[in-house]
Order: sequence, then structure tokens, then C-alpha cells
Amino acid sequence: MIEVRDVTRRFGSFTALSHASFVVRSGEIVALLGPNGAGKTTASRIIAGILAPTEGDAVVDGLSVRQDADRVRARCGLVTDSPALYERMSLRSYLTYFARLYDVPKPGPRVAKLVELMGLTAVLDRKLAAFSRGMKQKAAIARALVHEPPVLLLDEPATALDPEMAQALRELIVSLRAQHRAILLCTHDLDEAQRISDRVVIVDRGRIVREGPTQELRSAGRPSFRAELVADEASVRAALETAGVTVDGIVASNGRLEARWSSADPAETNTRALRALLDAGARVISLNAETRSLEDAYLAIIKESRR
Amino acid sequence: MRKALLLARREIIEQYSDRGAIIRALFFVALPIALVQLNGRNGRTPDGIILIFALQAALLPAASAINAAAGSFAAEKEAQTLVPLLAAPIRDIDIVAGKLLAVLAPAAGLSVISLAAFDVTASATYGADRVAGILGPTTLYGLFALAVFLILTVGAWVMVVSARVGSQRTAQQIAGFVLGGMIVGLSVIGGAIQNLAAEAVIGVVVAILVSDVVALELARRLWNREEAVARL
Repeated sequence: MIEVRDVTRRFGSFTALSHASFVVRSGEIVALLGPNGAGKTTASRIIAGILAPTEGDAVVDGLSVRQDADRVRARCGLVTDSPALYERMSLRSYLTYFARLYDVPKPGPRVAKLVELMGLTAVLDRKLAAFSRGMKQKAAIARALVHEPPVLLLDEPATALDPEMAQALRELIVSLRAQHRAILLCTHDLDEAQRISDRVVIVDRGRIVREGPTQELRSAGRPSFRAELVADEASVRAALETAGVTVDGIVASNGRLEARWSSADPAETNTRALRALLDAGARVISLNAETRSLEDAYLAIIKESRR
Repeated sequence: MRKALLLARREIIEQYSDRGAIIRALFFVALPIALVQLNGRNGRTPDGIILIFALQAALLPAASAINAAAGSFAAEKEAQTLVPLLAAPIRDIDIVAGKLLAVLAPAAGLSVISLAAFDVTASATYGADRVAGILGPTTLYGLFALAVFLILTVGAWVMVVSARVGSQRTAQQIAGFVLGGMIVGLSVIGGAIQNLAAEAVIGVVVAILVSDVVALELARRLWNREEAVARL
């Protein structure tokens, strides 16, 4: 479990992170979202025990990064956007080297198990320089897992991966969550965050501007609705306006109409809208709630925070 | 200390898996031997010159440490491999000690090989008894100790430089200036020995020791995890 408690980090006069607080529980993936330079990497480095907070504290698996940084490091696995490998080494010697740095008692079997998990057994004795970008990133993840850490910090892990490899990486991250690890995913890839994260923390200019379950964030604000109808546009518009429904738009397509509206009180508004439409002689094919993408929610939140 | 040794071992293997590094090392070993060979053809050589050649044989391998030290941190910064290393449970002092050991051990080894090769070549050229008289065991140990101190100084100062710069190339360029300074320093030591000015020799040795202490302390401060990460 990770607990970030009112953490501030300054570099000279620049504040990279300001009074940030959030929690990542075991068996949970939390996406730390934000634009470039928002403070995501600073946050992950503080949690990893390689950068001390100027104020506040981060607690990893019950240990304070301020008081016990070395033991915190032993409990974290860190993957950065660049694989950052010693490319003249073979995969076997690279993973064995890090296993020894992390005091893994029997590196051999652990390395063998990891490369099997990553699908890298065939290239175990090949130099890392000869690996593709995706394989290098897998090797970096294997390095981060070599000591079986309860906490995994993934800082833009899918950068520069092709879609197939990014998909494989997502599946791997989800499988790691099933092993009860606390996973912090720092990213600005909203699609990736939407697919796998349980909760989202949005950071902008060093400040946390929103935090919550991914689904809740997507449905935040006024929910919007879409009705598919067979009717003429003028009568539909008139019926909805008479019923007091604020119409966002009506689009005609293939002999049908799509009418959109939003409401803070769907039970009341949708009932009135449906009644008005039926009274106007419209045939209603479907009425659906429209879910915002995480991207829409994120952009709205960032825009709002900058006002 | 176990982790410092682990780190040093990896660094040494990394350094010498580069063919250029091996060629540079062999050059520094071969240079004093070549000088003896060339000088041997010019009739009687003064004892002072033989001593200077021995000094060069001991100290020139320290130059190979410059490249290793420049690469040690700056290259890791450039390749971003420093972050996973700093994220591992290793004490700051073990990281600095491991890096310094990786610079010191091969250069000191080269210094021993170079001195031994010089001794054999000089004995064959100038006569074994004469060379044994000039280069007694105490002198040879003294030259080796001086080489170790010089390697430490060079290594630590170049590590200080590589803490401040962003690329290996810049670190190597600055290391070139350090090499220039070292050559001037060697000339001063050589001149001091030739003129038998013992005080000057002692002065230079003391200066190297003081420089060691200052550079090591600076390297320790600059390469604590916090400073290193803040500069990435």
C-alpha cells in the first residue's frame, strides 16, 4: 500500500509537487494522470525512495520514505519510460545483477521464472542491445519485479510501444494487480488509464486537482442522453422545448433522428422528454445514457482547474 | 561493501568490453617501454632519466582512469541507467565506492603491469644491476603508491565533473583538460626528481593527497542520491 501524505517537493524556487495526498491500496491500479511537467515523475521518484520530499511524507508498505528510504526502495519496483538497461549485458546477467543488488537469495530460479512470465526465455543469453523496444521494456519490467515488490511504480511504461505490445503490457499489469500489488501508473495515455485503472488521480502544475474511481470520474458532471427517433426534426425540437428539455443537438441520419440533451435530474427530465416525444407522434427506437470518455473528463477537469 | 564490489565488477566488465579501452590501456603500458627502447640506442643514459621513465610507467596508466571516470556517471546519466540503480537498495556510499573502485582497480593493475614490463625492459637495456640499484623495492612501492593516489585524484575529480555535466562527451572533453593538467604535474614531478629537490617531491605528493581528500569529499556530497536524481 502507498500513502502519499501532503507531499511537497521543491527544486530551488520551482515547486514540482505541492501538498499532494493520495492512496494506492494493495490489489489496485491507480493512474496518476497529468500533462508533461505536472509532477508525475517527481511523485513516483519520491514514492520510490530516490527523492526526498521537501515537506510531508510518503509511506510505502508501512515504511516512511523519510525515515527508512533504503527499506522502501527494497519494496518498490520502478519502471521508467525508457527501459534504461545496461545494453552490453545479456538478459540473464542483467537480471541476476539486479537480483543480487536487491538481496534475492537465489537469483537463478527467480530469473528463470520471470523470463518465462515475460516470454523472454528464448533470448535469455542474448545481449540486451539486440532486443526490440518492446522486449527491452519487458526486460525493464522483469528488473522491477526481480525482488517481488509489493509496490510497482510504472512511469509511462508504454511509451513508444506498438499497439500489440502495449496491449500485452496492459494484460501483464492487470495480472500483476491480481497478485495483490499496489500499482501506480503514471501516464498521459488516457486510453491506457481508462482500460486498466481502478482509480484516477489527476495532477496539474504540481497540484492534485481531482481524485476518484475511474468510472465515477467519467460520469461526473451533467449526464447526457441520446434518443434515436423516427419523426420530423421540427416537431421533435418543438416537443422537447415545450417539455423544458435543454436540447444539445438534433442530427438526422439514414431517415432517423438523434436527439441529445443533458440533465442533472435524469429521472424527471427523461420522463418529461419521452412523454412529449410520444405526444408529438414520434416513434422512439432507443434512449441511452452517454458515458464520457476519460479523455473528455480529464480535459474538462484540467480546464476547470486552470480557470 | 558487497554491493560496492558487485557494482565495481559490472563497471569493469562494461569498460573493458569496449575494444577502444583495451587499446588505450595497452598504449599506456607500451609507451614507457618504447621510450626505453628508443633511448637505449643513444649511449649512456643518466640514472635520473631511468627514474623518470619508471615514474611515467607507473603514472601513465592513471590516464586510462580518466575515460573510465568520465563514463562512469555521465554515461549512466545519458543512458538513463542511473535511475534504476538509484532505485535499488544500495547506500550512496556504496555507489560512490563501487564507481571509484571500478576506476581505481584496473588503472592500478595496469600500473603494476606497466612497472613490471618497464623493469624487465630497462634491465635488458641498461643492465639488471644498474636498474636494481636505481629502482629498489622501496622506490618501486613508492612509485606504485604515488600512482594509486594520482588515480584516486584523477578519478574523483572527473567524477565531480561528470556530476555537473549532462553528457559523456562533455565529461570526456573536460577530462581531457584534467589529462593536460596531469601531464604538467608529471613534468613537475619529473623535474623535481631530476634536480633531486626532495622538498619539491614531498610537496607534490602532499598536494596529491590533499587533492584526493578534497575530491573524494566533493564526489561523496555530489553523488548522494538526492543530488544525483535532482540533476537528471
